[in-house]
Amino acid sequence: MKSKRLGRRGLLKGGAAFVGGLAMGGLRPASAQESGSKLIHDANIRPLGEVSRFERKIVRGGFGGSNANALTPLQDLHGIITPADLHFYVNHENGATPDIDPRQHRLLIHGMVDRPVELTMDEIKTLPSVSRICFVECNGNSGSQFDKNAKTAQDIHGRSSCSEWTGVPLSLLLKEVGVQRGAEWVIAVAADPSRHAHSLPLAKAMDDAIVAYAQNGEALRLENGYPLRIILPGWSGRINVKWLNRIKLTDEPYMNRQETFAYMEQGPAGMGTYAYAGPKAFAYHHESFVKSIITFPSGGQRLPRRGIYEISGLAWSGAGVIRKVEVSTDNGKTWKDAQLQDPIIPYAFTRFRLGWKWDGGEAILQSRSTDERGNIQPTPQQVGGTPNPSSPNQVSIWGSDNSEACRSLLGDELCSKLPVRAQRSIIQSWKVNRDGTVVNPMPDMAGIAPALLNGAHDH
Amino acid sequence: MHWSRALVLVIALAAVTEALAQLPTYGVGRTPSAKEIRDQDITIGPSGKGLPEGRGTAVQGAAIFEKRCAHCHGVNGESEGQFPALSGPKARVVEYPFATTIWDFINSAMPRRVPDIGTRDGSLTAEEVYALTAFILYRNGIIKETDVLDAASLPKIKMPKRDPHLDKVAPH
Repeated sequence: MKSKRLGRRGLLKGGAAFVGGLAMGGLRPASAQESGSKLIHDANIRPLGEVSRFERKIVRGGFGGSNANALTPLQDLHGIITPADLHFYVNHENGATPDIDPRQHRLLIHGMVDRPVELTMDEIKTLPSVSRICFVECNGNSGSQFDKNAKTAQDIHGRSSCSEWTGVPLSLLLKEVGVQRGAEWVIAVAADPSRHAHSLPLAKAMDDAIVAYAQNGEALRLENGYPLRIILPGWSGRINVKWLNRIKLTDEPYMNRQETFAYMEQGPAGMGTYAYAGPKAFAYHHESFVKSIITFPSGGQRLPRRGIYEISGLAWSGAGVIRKVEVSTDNGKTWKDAQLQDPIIPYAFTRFRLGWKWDGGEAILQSRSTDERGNIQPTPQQVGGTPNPSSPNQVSIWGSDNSEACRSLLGDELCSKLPVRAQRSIIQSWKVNRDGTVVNPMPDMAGIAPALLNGAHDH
Repeated sequence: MHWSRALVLVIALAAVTEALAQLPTYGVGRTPSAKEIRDQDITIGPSGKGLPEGRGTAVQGAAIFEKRCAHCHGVNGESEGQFPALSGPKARVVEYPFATTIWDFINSAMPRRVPDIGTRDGSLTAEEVYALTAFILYRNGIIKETDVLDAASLPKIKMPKRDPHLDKVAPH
C-alpha cells in the first residue's frame, strides 16, 4: 500500500474481499486477519490515524452493493455519529464523482437578488459559521425491507447517516445578496455531470439551511459534496445538493428532473398534487418520516449464548426531536420504553437502549419511535390496509397539513388527507432463531398491499 | 422644534436605518458580470423565463438524436438497454408534468459519452436542445412532427398526465 493511511477505501481498492454487514460488533474475532497483538515500529509519526486491522471489514456496501449503493454499516457503529468515510453515497451518475479543485471552485448567487455575488471557498470560510449534528437520508432508504435479498440493517436502512456539519448559514448569504420581494424559491445547483438541481422553499433556506464545507471536523468527503454542499436538517437527501456551485432565487419551483419524476409522490388526485403545495411545503414530500431500527441484535448477527443483552438502535425523524422509542421482544404484543441517550438533538440520530434477557427461544424484536409531532411508525398491516385509491401501486397512510400554503393551493379537503410515504417508515422486525442467528424475517403477508412486496426500488 | 418637523426627522432616520439593514454586512465576494451569470444560468423552470432564443422541430431533432443520443437511448429513443427509453412502451416521458423539465435536463446534462457515461460528450446549442425536446415530445405523441418549439411555445405545452393542481405552479 503506497499510502501511509490504510483507510477502508484503500483496502477495497487493494482488492480485498468485499464483505458488507458481516462484522459482529466485536463478538467474534476477525479470523481472516493475522492474529495476535503486536507493536508497530514506525520511524515517523503517521500523518493520519489508522483503522485497526481487525476492523477493516466494516465498510460501506450492502444490498445491491456497488459504487452506486455505498450504504452505511449501521449495525457495526456506536453512538450517533457516522464516520465520514462510512457516510452513505448514492450515485445517479454511474459512479462518476466530481473531484473538484477548491481553488477554482466558486459559488454564484443570483436571480431575484439585489446584489449577485460570486464567492471563493476562502471567502466563504471567512464568514460566520455554524455547526450542527443532523442526519442525511436518501428518499429511497428502507424500501427493501420486504426484499428477501436484503438481510442486514445496512442493506435495508443504510442510506442514512449522521454527521456534524459546519458551514455558513444560507440565511446569512441570502441577507448579504438581498433577496427581492416576490422571490419564494431557492434553486440549488450542483457541479456534477447532470447539473443536479433542486428547488427549495425560501422559508426553509432562511430557517436552518447550511452551506457546509465540513463534516465531522474535517473537509467534506468527495462523495459527500466536496468542497461545498447544502445541508437541510430533516429533509430528504436529494435536496441537500452536493458539489454546490450555484444558488438562484426565483418566484417558482423549477421542477428539475430529480424533483418531478422518480421522487414525486402519488397524491389522491394523481401525480404531484402536494409535492409543491407552496413555499412553505414542509409537511410531506421534503421531510424524512419518523423511523427507528434495532442495530443490535440485527440481521446477520448472532447471539453467542443465552443471557442478558442490551438491545441498541437508532431513531430519527424529519419532524425534529425523537420523543419516545418503544421496544418489543414478542412480535409487537407488548412494548417497553427504551432509554434515550442524551443529548437528544433535533434532526439527528438518537441512540436508544433497553436491557433484554434472551431465554434461548425464538423472538421477534421490533422498535417503534414517536417524534415531537406525534408521528409514529406504522406496522406493515397499518400501511397496507389503506392503499391509495387512485394509484393501486402506491401505498399510503394519510396525514394532514393545515398550513395556508397547502390550503391555498390544494384546498381544505385535500390538505386534510395527504398521502405520506409511510411504507419507508414501517416497523422493522428482526427474528432471533434458537441458534442465536438473527435474520430479517419476511413478515406475515396478510393484509399487506402488493406494492410493498415489490421492494419499492424507485427513489 | 415643531412636532411635525420632529416627526419628519424620525421618519427620515427610520428610512436610513432600513436602508442600512439592506446593505451587505460582510461585503465579501466579487460582483459577476451579466454575461458571466448568463453563461452559468442554464437551469429553467416551468414558466420558461430565461429560455434562450432559438427554435426547433421534431424533424430537425430526429437527425440530431441519431447522431448524439441513439448510442445510449436506442434508435428513436426506444432503448432496450440500461439507459432510459425515451419513446415506446417503456418510456415514462409522458409522466413528466412539465415539458420544460425535458428541455432543462437535455440542456444541463446531455449528451454523455459511452462507455464512460458519467462524462459529458460536448455540448448542444439552444437550437439543438429545442429540436431534441421536440423530437422526444413528438415520439411520445404529445406534439406534431412539424410543431416549432421555442421560448414561447415550450412552456405552453400541456403534458398529458399533469395534475391540474400544478397549474398554480405553472402560469400557462
